[in-house]
Amino acid sequence: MNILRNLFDFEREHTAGEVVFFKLFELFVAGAFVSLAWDWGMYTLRITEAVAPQGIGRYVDVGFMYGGSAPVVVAAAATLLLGLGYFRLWRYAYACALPLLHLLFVARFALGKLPHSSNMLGMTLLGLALAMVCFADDRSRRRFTLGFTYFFVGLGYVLAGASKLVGTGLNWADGRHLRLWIHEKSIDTLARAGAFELNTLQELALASRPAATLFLVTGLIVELSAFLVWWRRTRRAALTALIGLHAGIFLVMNIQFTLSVWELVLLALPWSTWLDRLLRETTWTNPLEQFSIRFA
Amino acid sequence: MFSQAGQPWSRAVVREVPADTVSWTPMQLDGLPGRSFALGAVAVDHIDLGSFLASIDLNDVEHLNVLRGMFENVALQDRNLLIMRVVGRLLDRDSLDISVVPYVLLAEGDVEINEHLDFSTSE
Repeated sequence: MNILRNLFDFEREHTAGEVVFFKLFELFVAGAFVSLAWDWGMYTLRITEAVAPQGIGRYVDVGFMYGGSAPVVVAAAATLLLGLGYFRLWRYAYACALPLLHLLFVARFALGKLPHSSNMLGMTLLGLALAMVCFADDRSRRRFTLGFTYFFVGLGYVLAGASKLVGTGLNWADGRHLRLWIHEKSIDTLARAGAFELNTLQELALASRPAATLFLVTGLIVELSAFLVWWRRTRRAALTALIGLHAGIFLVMNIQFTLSVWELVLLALPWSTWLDRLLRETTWTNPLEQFSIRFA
Repeated sequence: MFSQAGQPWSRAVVREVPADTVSWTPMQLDGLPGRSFALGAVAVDHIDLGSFLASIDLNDVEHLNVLRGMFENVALQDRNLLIMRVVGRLLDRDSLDISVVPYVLLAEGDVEINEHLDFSTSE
């Protein structure tokens, strides 16, 4: 099968479980961005100036976001739009929410360091926005959103791996580099929590350069192999490997990509199949199915 | 993320120190003064603070105001917070250097800056 069919498969029949899963998945995406919008907005209230403008802030003066209630207004507007989109009350709602979320993001992170823990989820929201605008039928919207997400999950991690080889070279995976990062993240923990203690994996990486190198080589291979998400036959294995990658990053580097991991878990496991079984065998799920069809 | 391996990093650490005991001398990680201060407990983003210290000029009043703003929800009565920049770098084959430089002392209604810092070469 060609790659487009593997990613989108517009012709394949959809099941009730697939319909319900997508609505729950969409709830996760929209809900996460409601939470992020308020998180970013409330923190921005404490910022008085954009020290290191990012994104749109490099081209447009976003100073209006500081010193007043603008962050709250923007967060409220984004929340409203995400709700309108989720309940299919306005076809362009998600598309309009995206620039507001970007504005909140660049206003919040204008002090020097940009995180990217929400980037993958942002691409899914973009997929949702495009799906709502470009397709009229709900099946195509579901297929496009998920296919778009699979594509950019695979591409994103491959580029992340490639950027390491471009930015540093083949010696990126040298265990000494992991030691430097472990100390950096230990300082982060010290700053955040007041104390830190190395775990067994971290101590192993610090004590053994070959072990640290093995950790990095494994992670790099997983990233560069992420394009396997594009094919149905290898998708689950590739997504599971990415979840393992993040588990390793958390254990060795104390870095949590909570939203990304949850999204990967939602994409990797056969939720639609489990929901199909649940819908067949129970009746208490009927309202959930009806809701999912009503707002498909 | 982490595409450029082996490069020095810069972070921030805050310690609660007794008044009139501040030394502006750079130190090692095992010689931090006072007692620990958890930024997470007061909702101050440690990543923001670290990036900020690495890129700003504390002689700039605007930048100083931004720093104050980060701690605006922190009660400073009878408390002195020493904000320090931590820099880690690889030295040679297997050794690592971590240096800690005091930057700012925050107290209620007062801010004291390390006069020995040269912000003209901020990275």
